[in-house]
Amino acid sequence: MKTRSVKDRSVALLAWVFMAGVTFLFLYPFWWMIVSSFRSQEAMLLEPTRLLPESFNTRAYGDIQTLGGVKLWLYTFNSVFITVAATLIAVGVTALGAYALYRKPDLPGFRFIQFGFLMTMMYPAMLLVIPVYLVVFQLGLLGTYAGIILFLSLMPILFLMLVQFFRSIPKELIESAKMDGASEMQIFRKIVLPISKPILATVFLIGFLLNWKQWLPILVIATSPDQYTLPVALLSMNTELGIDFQATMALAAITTVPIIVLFLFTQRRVIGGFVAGAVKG
Amino acid sequence: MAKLNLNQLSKSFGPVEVLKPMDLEITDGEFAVFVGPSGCGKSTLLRTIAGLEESSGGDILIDGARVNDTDSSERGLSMVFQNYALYPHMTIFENMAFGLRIAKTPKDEVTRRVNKAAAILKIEHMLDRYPKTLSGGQRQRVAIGRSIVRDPKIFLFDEPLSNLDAELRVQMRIEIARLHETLGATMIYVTHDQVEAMTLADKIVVLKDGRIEQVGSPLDLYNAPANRFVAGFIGSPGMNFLDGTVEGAGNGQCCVALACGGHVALPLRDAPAVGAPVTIGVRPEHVSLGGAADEGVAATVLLTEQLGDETHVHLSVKGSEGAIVAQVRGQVKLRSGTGVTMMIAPEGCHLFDETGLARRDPAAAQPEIAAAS
Repeated sequence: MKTRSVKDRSVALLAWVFMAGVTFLFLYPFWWMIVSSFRSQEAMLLEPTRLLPESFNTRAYGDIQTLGGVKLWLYTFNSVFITVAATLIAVGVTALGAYALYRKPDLPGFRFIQFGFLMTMMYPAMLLVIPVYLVVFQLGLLGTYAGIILFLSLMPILFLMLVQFFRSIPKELIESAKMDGASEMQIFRKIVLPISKPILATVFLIGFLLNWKQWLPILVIATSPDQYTLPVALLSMNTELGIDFQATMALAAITTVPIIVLFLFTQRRVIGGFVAGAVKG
Repeated sequence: MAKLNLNQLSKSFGPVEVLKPMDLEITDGEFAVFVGPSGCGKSTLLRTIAGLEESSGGDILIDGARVNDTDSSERGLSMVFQNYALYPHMTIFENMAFGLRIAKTPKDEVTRRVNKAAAILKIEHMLDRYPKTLSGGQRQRVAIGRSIVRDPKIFLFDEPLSNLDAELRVQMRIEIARLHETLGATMIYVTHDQVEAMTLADKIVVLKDGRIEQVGSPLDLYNAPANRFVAGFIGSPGMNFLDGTVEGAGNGQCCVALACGGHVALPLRDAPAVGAPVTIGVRPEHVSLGGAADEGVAATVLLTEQLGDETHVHLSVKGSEGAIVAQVRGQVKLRSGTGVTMMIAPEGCHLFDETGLARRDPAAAQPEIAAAS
């Protein structure tokens, strides 16, 4: 009995050490990013793996207030505006589509559309660069917020999550409302949406997190740095003249820290959203 | 209040014909119960009447008007679902008022009608609460209240008590019966529980494999089942069946030799031909124990179920697949394996021919039993 207990403890300790190691591997780059944003380029090159900065050198945060002639606040505004707008549209449109699929799964073409959505998730984004450019150009939306937002609002994963959730709503609830005389739109608005608030919030958060980090479509559709978001600005810091590590890390910190904080506060809901589909399916 | 007629109504899901063409009339103020085993089509029939499923053929007439193509909300029906189907984000008041508000009923009228329905069901004190704070019975009462508020022509109930425990089910059954008396409305009730059907119905519709097997009052069905299926389905414990052969007929009597030994002489003028294989059906209350060995059938006790005021004795007899149940008054203690003589009351016997159809004289549908009931 005692031997077993010792063995169990050893296994637990090993597991703990392993998990701590993995956690360190994942967290260290973020920590390095934040620490490096306060260290000079020279210090970074001399002693790259230092865990704490020698001093809090905030030069980089001042330097990045204007990047490529565009103010940092504009990049931040673009990031927030584009992400929020695209995610709101994505949630609104996919919720309507998912509801339609839930109510009339046998409508012609629906299965094909659903399959198409799955396909787009499997496609590497790079393959879409030229088609996206051509489509947005044809629509006359090149270089506009509308073009960027429209493209980023195509989020099939949200559609699939919402379909899974709607399928878990008892059909009697809908039928009861139908017998009460409610139209499809009234059923959606007065019954389905209110009871879907938690999943809608989850889906919005997931959409927000996914859209925040987008850079390739924005780089393709935008025609001026005025429309760039923080990740695109970050990318543009890697210039032919070299890299300012400290400034890059400062901008990376500004780009990622708020979203990490948001994730930490909402992770239960986000992970729950992913799992809900898997379990209830 | 309204009457309902089904004329050759049928329903198919793809190639599967779930409801075979059927005719049915439910009169004004009647309490009709659709009963049958799982998969017999009773819920589909109710949903088709409600307009939640499209019929594949035939007509649904409410007060003589064909409603097949009328939207479910405009048929003047309301439905109580098995899982209550209460809107979880609305209070009880809002749940009950939902239909009226959709119909843009004036606010005062909504309040008046909800309060009236709440008073009938004694749920006035919980109007501000949310469904999740209510027990199963209370939720079902709210669901019924939501139906009452709409003042429908016909109330539809789809197995409304199936989710409740036994005690609550009895209580709610009584409440529904009382509600029917109070409102005098036409009600259609679906259940697989034949006790619910017997206690609630004015008219029972027995379904099997999408076909109506028999329609009648509970006692009609109990006393004069049209076929072996209805005979076995209605009544608890169920009817016993014994195989036999007609060995003689005449003078208004039909004598059957039972495969398990013994003979039964039934009062029956329209008897099958001598030698025809038949099945004798006898309810447990018409099987007794004791008597002379040469007058009865030798049986062995399998087990006894003590119910207090009566005892159900399960017996095994030669040539019978299932157990034969005898319903004996009082508390009878018999060890399993004990040999007994089983007596069958001929006046309580039903005769089913080879096809399973009951054979009985048209005028006299078990007069002795009817009188006793």
